[in-house]
Amino acid sequence: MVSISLKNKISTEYPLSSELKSLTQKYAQFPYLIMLKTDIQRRGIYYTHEALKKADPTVHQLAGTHIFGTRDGILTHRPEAFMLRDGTSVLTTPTPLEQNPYIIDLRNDKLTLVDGQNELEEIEYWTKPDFYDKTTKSGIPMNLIASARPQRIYIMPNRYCFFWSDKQNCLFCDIVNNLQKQKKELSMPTRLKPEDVEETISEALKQKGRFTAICLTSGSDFNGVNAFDRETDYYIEILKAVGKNFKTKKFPSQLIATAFNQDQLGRLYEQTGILSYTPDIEVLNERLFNWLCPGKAHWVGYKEWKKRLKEAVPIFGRGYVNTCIVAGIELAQPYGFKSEDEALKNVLEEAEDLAADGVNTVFTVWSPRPGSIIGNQKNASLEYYIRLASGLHALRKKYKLRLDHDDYRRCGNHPDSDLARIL
Amino acid sequence: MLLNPKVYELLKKESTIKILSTINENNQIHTVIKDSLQICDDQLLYLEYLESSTTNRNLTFSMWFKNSVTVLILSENKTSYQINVTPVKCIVSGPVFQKFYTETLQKHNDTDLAAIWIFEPDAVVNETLSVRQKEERAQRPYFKHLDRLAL
Repeated sequence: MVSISLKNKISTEYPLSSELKSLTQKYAQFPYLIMLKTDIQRRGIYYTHEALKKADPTVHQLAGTHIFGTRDGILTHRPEAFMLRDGTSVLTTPTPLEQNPYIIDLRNDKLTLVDGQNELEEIEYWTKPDFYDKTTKSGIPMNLIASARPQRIYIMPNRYCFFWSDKQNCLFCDIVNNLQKQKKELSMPTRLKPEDVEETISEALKQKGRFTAICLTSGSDFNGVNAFDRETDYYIEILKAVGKNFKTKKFPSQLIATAFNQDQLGRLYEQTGILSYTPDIEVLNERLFNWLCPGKAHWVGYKEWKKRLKEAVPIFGRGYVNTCIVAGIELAQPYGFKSEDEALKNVLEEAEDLAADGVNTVFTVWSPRPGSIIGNQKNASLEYYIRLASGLHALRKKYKLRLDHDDYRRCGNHPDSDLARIL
Repeated sequence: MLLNPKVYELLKKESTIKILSTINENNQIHTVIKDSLQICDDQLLYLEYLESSTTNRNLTFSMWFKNSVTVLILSENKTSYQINVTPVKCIVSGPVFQKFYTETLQKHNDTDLAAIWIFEPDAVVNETLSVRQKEERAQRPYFKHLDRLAL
């Protein structure tokens, strides 16, 4: 029985921590709920035993299949994320208590976000899609083929990043270390077969009203006649398999991949149903890109990456090409910016250069993970992230850029693109 | 705040005209007829069919910044109520969403569902002309033309 009755009257007045209180006053035009989400992602989350008991594996989506790991290094059995009352998703990285994370606890039988003595918000765990209980004909649990966000199907066809083979992995990334864990603990396949993907998507689409978009992402694969031909061809193969489930050639979809050349992009767009493209540049500064993303720097280069982003716009359209930065890594030491003001100025100038040519920049809050090279460092202040989100939002307004494929609903992992709800 | 039985019944009637007014970040008012305003499980809710609608955007803005939202209902016999509401929840996924999504598809062919907004009523004012006239006559004796009192 589905009921919409609220358990209790919802209060809109909450006691805030002193930092949040002063920032809500200083940035009165920035939504409190997005500020809160940003800070949760910045500080991490800790689920109490009572809160975990409320996570029902038959109902809720538990973590484990995500491409990146957690701050406490534990893979499974915690909720992957939760929702706030405005429909905002908060993807969480469970974090040890000694690092001062927010806490999810059970208070008056309600799942409650707690900070110190302050009970901040009632939250809801993400619900699990029906296909999670199914298995492909080849015998693979479908939750290992695709994962879900509240409104998006997430496929990671290849979880291995070849930059790691040459020790040129991004310094903030733990993808391959996480994969090793997932293989060991979950028997996660490294590389998916198109027929398994086709079957899983078919099953997922049976659930009415569950999904609005499909997103693909993988590790980089520089193999091929031209660098990244093999990665391109594999995406085409997978996207064709996905496309067999739709009556239209194009379907709401996003590809988060390496920056491909014109020929590769042309093939992708012409031969598949893909509608948007997100090659993640990770950091908007050439010097730091060379340090933090040695594989991307070696195989593509910073200037070429930006050029390819801009060249993708005539193919996909303004606003349908974007790039993500891992916000906070530009302050990582010893080579990062020494002040947040300096970092912010640099990032927003570079983002504007892209926006002027129709490319959106979004950010995720850097979550230093133990499986990454700079995982022992700290991310930026909440105020930095508020200013960054506001700055990127202002650029979208100035250049009239939509961000429908990577917004609060399709993705939910970018505080700045949550703001696009009121654009 | 609980809605009184008369308002409750009017909201449930299909023949009642339901109007939703919201404001944007520049304080511009947006007013539209919204048949999908309804009572369900004792909650006042609004089904948003268009994700890109001005109403949807303004409701988000109202929820974030506590701006006013007003519902006006008008019955066949011209009885009218204004209900000041606060959007308290926006449901965009999950079992409740899917239930309303399926119902929407059944009821309105080719109509998608973008969100379910739950409103909490803050104040109800009877705006029926005859009722307001009676109130004004009783409370504001100066607000009338003298010729109407003349012998």
